[in-house]
Amino acid sequence: MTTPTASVVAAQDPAPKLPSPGGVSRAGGALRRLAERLTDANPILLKEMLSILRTKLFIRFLYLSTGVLAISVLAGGASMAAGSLPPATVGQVVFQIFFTLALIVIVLVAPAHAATFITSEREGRTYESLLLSGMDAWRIVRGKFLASFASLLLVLVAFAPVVGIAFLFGGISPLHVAFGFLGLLFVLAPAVAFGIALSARLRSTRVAILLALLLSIPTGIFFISALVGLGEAAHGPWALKMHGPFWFAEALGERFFEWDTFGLAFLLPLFVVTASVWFFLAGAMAGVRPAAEDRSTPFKVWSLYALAGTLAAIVATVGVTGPGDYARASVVFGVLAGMLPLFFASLFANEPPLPPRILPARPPGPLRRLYLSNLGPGAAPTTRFAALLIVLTHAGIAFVVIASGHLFFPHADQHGRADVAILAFTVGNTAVCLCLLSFGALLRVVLKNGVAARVLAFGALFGALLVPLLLTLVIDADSFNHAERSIPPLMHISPVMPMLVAIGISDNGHPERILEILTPVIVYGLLSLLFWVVLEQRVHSIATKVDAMRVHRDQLLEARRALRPSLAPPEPEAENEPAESEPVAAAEPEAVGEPEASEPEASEPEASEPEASEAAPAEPASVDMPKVDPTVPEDET
Amino acid sequence: MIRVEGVGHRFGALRVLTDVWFHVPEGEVFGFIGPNGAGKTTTLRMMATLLEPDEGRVLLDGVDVVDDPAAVRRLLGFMPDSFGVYERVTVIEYLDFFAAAYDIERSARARTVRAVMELTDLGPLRDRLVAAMSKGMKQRLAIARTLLHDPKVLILDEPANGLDPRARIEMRDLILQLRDLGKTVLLSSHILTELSDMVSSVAILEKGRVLAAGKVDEIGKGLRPGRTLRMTLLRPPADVRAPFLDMSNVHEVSVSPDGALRLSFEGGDETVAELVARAVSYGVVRVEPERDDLERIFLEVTKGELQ
Ligand SMILES: Nc1ncnc2c1ncn2[C@@H]1O[C@H](COP(=O)(O)OP(=O)(O)OP(=O)(O)O)[C@@H](O)[C@H]1O
Ligand SMILES: [Mg+2]
Repeated sequence: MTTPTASVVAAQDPAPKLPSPGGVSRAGGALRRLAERLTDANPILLKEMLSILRTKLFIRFLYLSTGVLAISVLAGGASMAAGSLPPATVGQVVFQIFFTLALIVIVLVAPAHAATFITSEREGRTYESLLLSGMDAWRIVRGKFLASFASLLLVLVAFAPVVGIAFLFGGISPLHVAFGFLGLLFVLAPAVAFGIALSARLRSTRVAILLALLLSIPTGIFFISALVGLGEAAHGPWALKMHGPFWFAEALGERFFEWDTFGLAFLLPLFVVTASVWFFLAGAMAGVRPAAEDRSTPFKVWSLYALAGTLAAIVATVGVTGPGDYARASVVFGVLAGMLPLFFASLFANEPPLPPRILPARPPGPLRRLYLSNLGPGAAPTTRFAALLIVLTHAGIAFVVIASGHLFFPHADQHGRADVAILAFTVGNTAVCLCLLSFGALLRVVLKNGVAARVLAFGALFGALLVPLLLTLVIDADSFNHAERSIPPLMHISPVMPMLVAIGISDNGHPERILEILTPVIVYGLLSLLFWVVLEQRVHSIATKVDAMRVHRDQLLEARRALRPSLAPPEPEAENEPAESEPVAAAEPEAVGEPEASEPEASEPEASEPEASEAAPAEPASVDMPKVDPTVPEDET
Repeated sequence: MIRVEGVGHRFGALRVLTDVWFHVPEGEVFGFIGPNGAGKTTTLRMMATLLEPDEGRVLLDGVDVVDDPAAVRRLLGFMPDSFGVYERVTVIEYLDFFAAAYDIERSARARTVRAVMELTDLGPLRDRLVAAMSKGMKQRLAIARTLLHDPKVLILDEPANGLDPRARIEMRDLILQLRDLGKTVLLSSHILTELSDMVSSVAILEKGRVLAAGKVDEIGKGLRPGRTLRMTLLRPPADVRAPFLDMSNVHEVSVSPDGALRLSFEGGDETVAELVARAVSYGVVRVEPERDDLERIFLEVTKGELQ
């Protein structure tokens, strides 16, 4: 096919046939496919690893960082050994220096490294072909996550021999080292997932890296100091010898099978790590999926996991408190856990009004259909789901706190007040969260912008918090002095009222004060009912209008198609469009290349009819069609 | 195969497509022509599910691209006008990656990749790093990628853009080969000569409106009835019209810059035979149908209003 006259040649010699992409008989096919799936590496992972290993910069970074690390650890060890410390202590300090430096490298590098993984496809204009290849969001996100994780794992592997320096001095065991590396992995995974989530939602690599660094540095500082603080707290009770952020390696190495160590230093971190990785990856999937697809289901599944883990964590933490301060502690745990439904309310108040039009590849089974039509994507079903979730979370918190209190401290004398207090809090807080949820969801549908909706909803919440507080102070500055006896009347409509009531009951008894919770329950309950009804109605009317417009459009197009011969010749221009000739120049932003399959706000069904309906017979009332935008703005966290 | 029905689109306040309506028949090479900024890329991106139309709809093999993008993506291979390739992988790794991405089973993957490389002449380059390839090779690699899942429809946005003449010819031959494999090929271009010897139908777009769509010769007839013949004579007469004066179905005889006669006439092959018979005594050197049909159509339809 290199000769100029090849058009003739091509006709003569039959072109090589393309084999059709493999198809296997159904029966044995499914099993074989599964086996193949399991042994077949994710193509993205494979491709990324190939490219990374061919990147000189990465290899140089590997050499350089390992070298710097080795020198710092050696220098630290040498200066310690020069003093009068016993060798075992020196070994432990070297151990801490090594792991702390490795931790710092991870905290700094991992999010920024991962943050380039999806934006680079967008910038390199390879993203579209990736989407067109039909890879689903989860496969893309998983591949990117694994690739970034694996390449940073290589860095850790390169670092590993340096820890040998610590063994020269002694004082540590291989088990300590193993748990130290486990700790690094526990940090690496969420750090990478966070970077991937950023990358999925941004267009520019530079912005992604910058944002990753800006967020990871303070988080890292906070995290490392919190780790040191926790270590000091655990030092006495668990009889630890080591100081520094990696105290848990010793704790786990020495007392892995003590239930408190196992629970608090292993299971709880494991839950936090898996929950945050899951959350970030769900966010990344929402960023990779086009706006017209289901973005909220991964978050819904995640929320159930987060709920289960949180309840388990409450059990464990109630268990470690003493029977003396148990009532106070259980309320504190309850209130802290009450942040979770607040987060749920905000998370799920960001759903476009209509469920995605895009049909799933396989027809859904009966259970899934039930889910899709009642609790699935779309503003109304998602709000229902979140409402159920909020109720469930509060019920779970109440049950778990009360049950574990009775279980761990059967003879404590504070049960009455503790139980009533936590009940008061959960009932009241349910109403507050539901109100925030339905208000936010309604705002989202009306404003068509998730960020604005959430900002406004939280603004309203803070308003409800501040106004009664300030007014109370203005009216009578002293009214808080006898708050333990009676809460100032205006504060009854404050969203923190449930917390105030619960603290009051747990500190001072008087279980009958649970009645004070009635005002916020009624106020917020009625409000959320109101918002919810309006939301359902609004969504319903949008859906009806959109359906009507689609039917109308299709009828119109069928009619016009019938008027044309097979290959439509040009129509006599009906000039129905006056003066639409904008200056064409100066309008080539082009730069970014849409990260979604649809331009932001580009797919408004609203814009669709009026003009296409030139010769239209009676048009349905499409005049004040509310904008239905399937585009969810770029943020989730 | 592809139906574009009443499609309109705007970017912000800028209206780029207005009631675009045309139909690409199955198994044809279809040309989508228009000056820069006419809206070709925008239309093609809609077909490829990368952009949703504001108005109207696009159907591929009867499937609405907005309703079921996944099904459309399986049917379609799309090569954008400007695209990126993964640089630090080899040709075979690149194709293997996409074969896996298209979910082609592992057992069939190597075979598919080999067949596609053979078709696009990439075989000798299989272990070359993509970063080390020329623009023309990358273009071929991009086409190879779109072929992996054996799509029924190929949409190529300016496939010859930036290619040298030889590579262009190779590209044309590849496209014809693909047509012979039964694929429907839609290509956009603003260079007409490169299309004229492979497309059978076209749609001409300007400022977001379709000015003409259909079979090339039908559009040509619609613009200027009859056919045009170029005839080169060894000894042209002083009055070129003289030999054909009494033929009432000959509209016009003129001399083109290279000395050949341009005869516009109405009628079938008998008329052609008659024309040749009358010119025989002047020494007929060459007779050919006018070659620049597409160009002429384009110029007449767009009235030269380039943007
Ligand atoms: N993402 C975008 N945002 C805003 N305007 C755009 C965008 N993409 C294209 N346009 C505008 O739409 C019009 C049509 O562009 P399009 O790329 O479809 O033209 P084209 O026919 O493909 O031109 P060319 O022959 O130069 O490739 C142009 O005026 C362009 O400025
Ligand atoms: Mg273009």
